[in-house]
Amino acid sequence: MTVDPAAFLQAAGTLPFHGGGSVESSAPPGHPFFGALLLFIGSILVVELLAGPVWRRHRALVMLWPLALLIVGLGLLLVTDMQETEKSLHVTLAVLFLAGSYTEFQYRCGRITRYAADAFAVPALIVGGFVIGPMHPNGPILYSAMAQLHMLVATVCWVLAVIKLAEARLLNAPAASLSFKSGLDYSFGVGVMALGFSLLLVQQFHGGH
Amino acid sequence: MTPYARALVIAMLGPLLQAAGVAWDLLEHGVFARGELEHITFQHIVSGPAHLMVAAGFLVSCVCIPIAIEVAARGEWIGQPEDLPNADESPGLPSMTAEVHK
Repeated sequence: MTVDPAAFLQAAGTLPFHGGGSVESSAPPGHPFFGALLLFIGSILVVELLAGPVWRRHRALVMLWPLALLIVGLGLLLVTDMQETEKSLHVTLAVLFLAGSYTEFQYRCGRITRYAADAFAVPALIVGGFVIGPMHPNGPILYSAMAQLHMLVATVCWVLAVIKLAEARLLNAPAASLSFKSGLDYSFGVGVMALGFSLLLVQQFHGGH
Repeated sequence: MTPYARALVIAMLGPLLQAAGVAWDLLEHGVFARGELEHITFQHIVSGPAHLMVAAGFLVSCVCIPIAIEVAARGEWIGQPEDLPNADESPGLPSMTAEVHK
């Protein structure tokens, strides 16, 4: 099988960039800002693990992750208010992010255990994946690039849920599993970066919210 | 992973994100959508995914480069215990000194 580069470029050029070429959406763009924020905070989660005690000595830096979730939740409430369609889906996501921010804040303040925080995070990620993917009206999955991109975002959410589930299972594991556990921690940070990147990709081929 | 390698990864994460954003933007405007350069809108400049990726990389750099310097400095202290700052002279550092001695 041979790939003709000219045909590939021509096909790529026909994809709807910037929200459908010259057609600008009237709705304020939300995907790219949430995507950039998640890309930022995913990188911060990876750096947090790399820096270890140096990072934990700065109280404000430790609170960046719950703060980012809070900003995304409030942003989604704003999107719900401004956009006339899909209000219930955006409210659901906003509530999940706000509740996630609260549990992560409580965990980082030492008021609840990691297990308790994950007991919320895992179902929230699974439900969030369903809200972003299958429940989001994007057209037929086989023929719509938007539907496929939203399914990509949903899949990243489900992968994050699986990582969290594995982390929860290894919470009291013996020291031999520590390197695997550490790998899962890094995977979660990289997964949040992937979530942000997938949202940026959605914006690349779509203008909307 | 050595403290220096950790510091290097921490310091390079932001610039790498920025480089990826620039590459994305060049690919978009130089290869895939050449014609659209004439129809650039303010909304595209503010909300273009590639531009936001560069912005995210810049923010990561702002937060992480001081942390990378701190991680590298801490690594130096681990390597040379005699260079540990005196707790009496540096009131802000005793907790780190204690961590290194552990």
